[in-house]
Amino acid sequence: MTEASRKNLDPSFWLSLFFTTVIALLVGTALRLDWDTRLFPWAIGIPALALAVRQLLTDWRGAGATTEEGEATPYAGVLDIPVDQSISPEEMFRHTVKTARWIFAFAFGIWFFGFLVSIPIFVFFYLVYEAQAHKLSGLIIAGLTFLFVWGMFDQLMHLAWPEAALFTLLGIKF
Amino acid sequence: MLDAIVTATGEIFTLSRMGWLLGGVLLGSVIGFVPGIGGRTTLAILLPFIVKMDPASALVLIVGIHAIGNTADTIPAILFGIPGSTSATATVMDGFPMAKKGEAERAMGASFLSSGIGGLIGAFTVLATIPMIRPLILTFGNPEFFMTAILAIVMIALLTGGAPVKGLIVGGLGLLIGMIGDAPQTGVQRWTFDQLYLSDGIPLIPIALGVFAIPELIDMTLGATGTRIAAAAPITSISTKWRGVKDVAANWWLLVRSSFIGSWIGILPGIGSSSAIWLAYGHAVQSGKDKENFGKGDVRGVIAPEAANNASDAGDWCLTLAFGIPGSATMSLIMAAMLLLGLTPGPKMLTDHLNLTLVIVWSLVLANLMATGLCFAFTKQLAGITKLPVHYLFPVLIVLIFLAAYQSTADWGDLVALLGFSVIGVCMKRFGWPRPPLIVGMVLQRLAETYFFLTIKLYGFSWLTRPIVIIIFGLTVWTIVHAVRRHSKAKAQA
Repeated sequence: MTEASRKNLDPSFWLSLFFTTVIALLVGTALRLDWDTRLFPWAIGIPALALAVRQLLTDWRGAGATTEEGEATPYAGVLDIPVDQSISPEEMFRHTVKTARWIFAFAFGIWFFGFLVSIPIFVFFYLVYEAQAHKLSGLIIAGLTFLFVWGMFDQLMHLAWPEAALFTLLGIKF
Repeated sequence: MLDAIVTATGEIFTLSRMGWLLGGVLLGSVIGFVPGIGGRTTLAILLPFIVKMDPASALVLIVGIHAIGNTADTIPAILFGIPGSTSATATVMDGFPMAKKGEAERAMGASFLSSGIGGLIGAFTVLATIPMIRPLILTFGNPEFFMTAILAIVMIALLTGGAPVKGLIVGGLGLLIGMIGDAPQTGVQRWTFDQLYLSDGIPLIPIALGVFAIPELIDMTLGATGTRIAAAAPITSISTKWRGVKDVAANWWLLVRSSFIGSWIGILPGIGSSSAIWLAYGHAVQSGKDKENFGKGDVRGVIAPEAANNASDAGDWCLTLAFGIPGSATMSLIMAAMLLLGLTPGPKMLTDHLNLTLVIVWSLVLANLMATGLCFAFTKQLAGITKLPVHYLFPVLIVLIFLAAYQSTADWGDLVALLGFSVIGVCMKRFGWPRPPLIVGMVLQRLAETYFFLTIKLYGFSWLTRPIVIIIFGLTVWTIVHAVRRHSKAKAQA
């Protein structure tokens, strides 16, 4: 890759690469299936793969980034809720990673402590440390959230909660 | 027929039946507001109680619960960008940007009124077409259904304006993801990698929430602590629900067209409201003279999908009642309730039980009016939520999203799918890849594959000469040519 093309490489390239790989894998592994089962996957997958390769090459050449040159965003033509252009991409990336950490921490909490324990803990810690709320407000909102979830999902809907790793380890059953 | 109408009218306008209808609407509004729960869960909870009621009252209650779901699922879509159900995903596109501009009340006013009127148009369309529906449906064979599904996917994929190729790739990917699990014709497991969770396919709700809701929530908290959803708008912003009403009046023709799109799609088996909303949205974009505001908070992007959503519901009812073909998962549950009540959905509902069918149609009309009135009454209070600090809302909404995703199949796989598709959704939004075609592709996959398989097996290549297939094929080609020309023109101007 030349210096110029590296400079112009559209960030969308990596997503194009991911989609192309996924589609290629699905089309390729469909080969193992019988004809009737793979007919539709190929009817859809092969044209989709051709388009994905075309898009990958476009992004590789950096042309994707200049598709809508002159407009406020390189992807302005795409019909979607716009990304806030007043925030720098670096700031946006930092924020996304920070928020994703909270989301993944909550997911880990569900796996380790179970839903009903991790919900009030997550709400409380997020409010106090991220939203900088008063501890009492955090406690009240966490408590109310727990009561709502417990009342609706546990008592009313009898949702089958997943087993928490910690309680399984300790041999405790609810 | 006239006798049945008179009998049904007498049966519905009694104190107890109106009470059941109102009760259903109220109950549905409380539970239906929670993302991912909706009328289906409420019905599942109430099923054991419903079977002990007399059939007419039970049906009235079911309609009440069901009707409010389609109106109330818009509320989280507009306020937080979280679709309350998959049939509210299109409303997120313009409803949430409106809320961010301080126009949540206006968006909800327009949405509720469009839902209500759409539901009425749908109900009356079904009522008027009951005698014609059978021959109408019979003109549609497997090839026509297959082509309709393809047209829907192509329309949504190309809706993406500046990126038709990306739209088609994502639509194709949605179809491929939808193929994970049992193949509908052969029963062979496809791409399940020996995972039990994948054998039934990945459910739509975790994917829709991951692709749409999580990226919006992350962006929502971008500002400093204390930022509100409607951060860009002054607190005194004058944007009432009455402005939404005026918007609906100003766009009445779009509302009518979208309602007819919804009614027609609702009648077609298996396509359902999740596709009808995107077709109506696509129609609003393609028929609009000024398109640049779509996706940025254009009220027409709220009116069209909401009208189609409720209108398709009536068609869905018709299909379930007249043919015994449930058009959606909720309708399958309603059909089960009817069987438990001793009613067999099918042609007899139009002959022996015509009065009960008309009770349902009446209930649909009244429930839509009640749901619209109820939601309309609380619009101001609901819109007030956008003035709360987003950092306070964020953890509660994350909890609701995780619960909504998990209750799809109550499996760890739901949470893994939610997280995985959240990452994909964030990247798609950041890098300009359209998200709607993914959902539409998934929704229509089973239908498209089933009809594709049957078409090939039964007709060979002769299906390509059928008149309706030629018309739909022509429409599909026209949509592609139109999108490519528009894209080339935009590039030339840049």
